[in-house]
Amino acid sequence: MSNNYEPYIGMPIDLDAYDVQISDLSDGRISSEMWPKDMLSDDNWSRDLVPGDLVPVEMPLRPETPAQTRPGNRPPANTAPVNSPPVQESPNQQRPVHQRPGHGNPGSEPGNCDLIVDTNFNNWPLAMAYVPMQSWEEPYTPDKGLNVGTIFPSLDLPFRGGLKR
Amino acid sequence: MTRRQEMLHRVQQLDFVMFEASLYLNNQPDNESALNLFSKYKALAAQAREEFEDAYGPLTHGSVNADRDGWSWINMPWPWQVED
Repeated sequence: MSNNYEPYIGMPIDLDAYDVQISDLSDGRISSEMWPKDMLSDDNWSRDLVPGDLVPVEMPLRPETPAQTRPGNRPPANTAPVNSPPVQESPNQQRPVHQRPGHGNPGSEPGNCDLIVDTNFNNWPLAMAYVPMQSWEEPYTPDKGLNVGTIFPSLDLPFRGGLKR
Repeated sequence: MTRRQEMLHRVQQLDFVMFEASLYLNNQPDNESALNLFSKYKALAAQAREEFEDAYGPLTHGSVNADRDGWSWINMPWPWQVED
């Protein structure tokens, strides 16, 4: 994948749209690679993603899609928009549904559809982060506190690379 | 662990608790428990520091007791000469 395309933690993805290859590095680590199926299977998509590309993703809790925006009303795959917003066909300003070119939509169920998402993050609205207010709790002893790097048990969060504690 | 190491480690521990309490208080300056923790460990840390410095010399320039000891900062041993 091109370096122009920066996935980020928490990025919504549709696993059905990717070929996932997991390799055992035989040293206790594993390596995983994900390749968008569309990018490889369709000539028009067999290139690296660049900012502004429109890629299929899966979004939860999506409102019901009107029938007229279902597959069939969309432009064919070889006109997939690049560096431009998708053609808006929905009468009620709902975001258009994208079906992967050359594929059915096997993983999709109602309320679980692919959306077109503009990967030019400059076009995205800003988000807001928050940190909840800490509550008082019985602190660790000085001995334990210095060892683990905090005197507050709720901040004692050793990083385990996603493994369960 | 030598006596010197133990006393120095104690200073580090008590300083750390005081520092943690102060970080908490930066967000919630009126929290009674945090204020109590800060005051308690500020005193304990100062006491432990004083005990260490009386035995092994000043930890910072500011803790040189020049009236009593003269300029003790340059007294032997230097940190790399301490055989812990």
